[in-house]
Amino acid sequence: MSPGRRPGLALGCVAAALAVTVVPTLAQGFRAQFDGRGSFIEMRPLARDSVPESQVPGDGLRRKLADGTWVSCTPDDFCRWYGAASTQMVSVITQDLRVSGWGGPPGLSGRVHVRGRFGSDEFWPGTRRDVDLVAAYADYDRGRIRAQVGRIGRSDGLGYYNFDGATFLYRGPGRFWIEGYAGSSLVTGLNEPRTGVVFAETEDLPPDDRGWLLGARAGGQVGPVSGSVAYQRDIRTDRKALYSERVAVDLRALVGRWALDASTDFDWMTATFNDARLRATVMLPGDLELSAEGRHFEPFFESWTIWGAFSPVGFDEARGAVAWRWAEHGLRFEASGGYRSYGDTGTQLEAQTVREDGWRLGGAGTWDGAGWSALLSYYADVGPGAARYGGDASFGRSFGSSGFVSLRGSRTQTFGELRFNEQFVTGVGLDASWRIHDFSLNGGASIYRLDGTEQPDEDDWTQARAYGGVTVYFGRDPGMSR
Amino acid sequence: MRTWRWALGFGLVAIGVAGGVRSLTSVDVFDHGAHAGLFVGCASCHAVGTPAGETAPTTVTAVACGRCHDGTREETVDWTEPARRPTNLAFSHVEHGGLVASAGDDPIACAGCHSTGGGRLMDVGPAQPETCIGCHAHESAAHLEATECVACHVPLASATGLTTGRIAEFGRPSDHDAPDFASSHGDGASEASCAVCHVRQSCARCHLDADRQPAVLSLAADSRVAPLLADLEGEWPEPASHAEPGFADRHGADGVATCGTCHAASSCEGCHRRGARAWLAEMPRPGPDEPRGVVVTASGPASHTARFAIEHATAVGAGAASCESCHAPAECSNCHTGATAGLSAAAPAVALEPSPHRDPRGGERESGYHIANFVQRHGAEAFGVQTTCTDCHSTEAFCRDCHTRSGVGVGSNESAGGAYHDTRTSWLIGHGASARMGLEACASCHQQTSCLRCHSAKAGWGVNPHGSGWDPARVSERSLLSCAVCHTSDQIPPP
Repeated sequence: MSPGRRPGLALGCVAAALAVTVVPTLAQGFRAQFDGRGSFIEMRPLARDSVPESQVPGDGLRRKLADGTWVSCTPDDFCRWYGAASTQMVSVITQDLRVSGWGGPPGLSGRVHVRGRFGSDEFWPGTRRDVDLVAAYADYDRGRIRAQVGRIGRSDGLGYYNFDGATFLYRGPGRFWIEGYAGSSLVTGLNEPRTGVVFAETEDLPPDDRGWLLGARAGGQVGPVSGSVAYQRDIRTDRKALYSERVAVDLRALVGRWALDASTDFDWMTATFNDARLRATVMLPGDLELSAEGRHFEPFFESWTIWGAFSPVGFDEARGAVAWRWAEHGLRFEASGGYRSYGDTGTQLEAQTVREDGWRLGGAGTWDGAGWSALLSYYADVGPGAARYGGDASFGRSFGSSGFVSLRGSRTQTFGELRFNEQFVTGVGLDASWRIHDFSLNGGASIYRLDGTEQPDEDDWTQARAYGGVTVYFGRDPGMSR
Repeated sequence: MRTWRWALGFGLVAIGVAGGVRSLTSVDVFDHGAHAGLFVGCASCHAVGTPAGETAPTTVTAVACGRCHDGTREETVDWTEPARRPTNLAFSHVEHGGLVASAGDDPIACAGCHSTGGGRLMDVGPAQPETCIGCHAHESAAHLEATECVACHVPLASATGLTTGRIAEFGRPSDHDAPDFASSHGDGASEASCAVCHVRQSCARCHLDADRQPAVLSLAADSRVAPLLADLEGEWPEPASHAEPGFADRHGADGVATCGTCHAASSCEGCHRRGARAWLAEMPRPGPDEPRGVVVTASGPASHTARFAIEHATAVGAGAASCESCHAPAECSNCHTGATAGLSAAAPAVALEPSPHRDPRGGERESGYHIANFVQRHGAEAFGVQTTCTDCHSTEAFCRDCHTRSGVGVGSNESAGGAYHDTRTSWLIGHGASARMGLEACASCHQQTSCLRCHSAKAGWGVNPHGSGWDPARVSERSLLSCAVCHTSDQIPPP
């Protein structure tokens, strides 16, 4: 156990103890869900290798070894390449406990979500800490107001984020509302501040100060149109700088069979529209659904990183999708595609031209009848940096809400990120789940064969995976009991 | 043989019971027509022996018969007064007569109500409702078209003499057959008039929230009606509002008081299955023998289109779907908190794109957003940003951490010597375009310090990374510390 894990362990144990004892005790009713899941995955990392440049025949910076392996050579130094390291078994074991309790004044409830990773071997990202406090907050939602205090997760036009603090929502006349929140900001996906142990161990230049997250949202609905405006500022606690300052506007209109969406995120610090979309979806008679979308994307980076200063270039994209359901036969088909074009990078030195556009195309068909189901799909995604083509298939049997068993297979062709790495991945697997009252089990196993065609030293190999899980519910589901 | 004996025995018993019942229920019926011409008025019989002030001129005692059937003039008869027929009429002959007289109207002769139209004195019979409405203010020409039943009738619960059988014979007003009657009968209805035919159980057949509706509670409960309702299903016609576009997204606006008429809590729980909802606790919960109401099976609202799982961001931002009505925030964290259990844990086997509401196996995923084996094919999605990876994953602590452990990424102050990006012979000096188009991908393998070795104003090679649109004033105004990383910091390693 690394030193950084101990505070998390202590915090988690306290939270878990509170979750399983205090919340149900104080609450008039409670509902708890425990999920224990374990995955066991064979991994074979890459390892850098090298030989003296003089030992590699040929000249130039890029050469081939006798077995066909591409190497990058530095004159009078070494020729380097990536090869296969030894295979190791990775175990990813998580334990999630979610408790909801309610009681006392009408509208008052509390929620705690604790995630443990006891047994994980830390290889898999995000498993460095033994315990995460994903959420823990009190919620009062009654009439025109809603207030939450604690570790809160939120989703809005700015994406998903969580923080330790409080929110207050007021529902005004009609369908208008306004909300404000404040608290100590957390890192997306980490459930800890920027100064936490995970960043300290993974980032060379981690932030040296926590952040205060302040934000406000206002929205409403007029006829078929609903929308909101969100403003958020993440400021260092020493107030020397902002980590981010963003605005989001989201609009949605449901008019007849049409759904019209418009949204944008704006980075106030760099005056950049990060993700702007305009999408129209129409549901035609006969269960036919069409959608078209125009999108502009540029990545967003917080100001404690240097990445935003590198003037990232985004792309404009046109997307379309069609879905059709033939209900009487349990069939459903969908197809989607998109084309994107990147902006001018403004760079001067180009060793080789780089693709400046990308496209994707996919289609799938599913069948579901009398407990049997099947799926076939194909997907292609090509762009600068990486590409893949592949298809999936599955065939399964469900037993009402009790469980299912399913056999799946896939074959995918991938291309490495700006490197010689064409690879075919072929896999088969079996998944099963069974539920009896408040107790359910699921598990599966799969084998993947990886065949490389470019780098012989990254040997072809077969990867085994297995997973299993158990879910147990406690207490009563509000409204489900008689 | 035994069967034949059983049948015979059963038949005899049935005949005996039937006969007994008939003898018990037989009453003498006076044949007015056979006595035509014998009397000069109704009071000859109907007023004899009647205590003053009572409503009994309708009854005839044996004394009245005996005035003629005395065994001399006419043979004696064995006359038993017919039992008074139970009724729910709010009518008293004495009071009625008194009211008419006090109003200054002409006294009404018996034939005014009881004549059957023959013209003779003895052409009489029971008064018909149409006769009543011939005089009384009545909105309709026919009896059962009336809407103000209470003008002539007492509430059913007060008509205690009526048997279940008699109640079953009640006529059905014509307006009850109107197509919209089930959904509109509460509009302007007179509870008193409803109570003439209906009791609380009548309403509870359809109204799941009968025990909290004042109009229903104003009616009395009556056990006589229960057998009549035992085999009747509730009627829950679909209101026109349910077919309006966008109804699924705003259907809660009318409140539980409206929904609870037809829908039980279990109907809501098909979709609203998460978390403690105060309003859900207020929805009706029928007992085992009570109507279930309209059962709505679980399904996403129409606004949850086929690709909603990857396109719901705008709907969430706009607040249009009131996400938290169905989804607890914890559900968001099932997907939006980065790594959970690793590969393939409980995720659907395969899917073109994640779609939690349309899992072909019919199950609802509890965790696992990506398709199976996503780890080995995520490169294209990550570069193309089909969905925003950073909404769930920390680039530094998740992507880079994994890439470093798996050998793809490079650690601090390390260099692969161009071995990774081996399709570019001069990758180092020509990587700018790729970097600006996929900067998130760069950061998923490289530390900031890797880039600062060259791109720093204070150390390194001093290569300016800023593009033409870079606005240093705007950034420095908000975060001068960001500038300091490259321009003044001592953290930068040598190239």
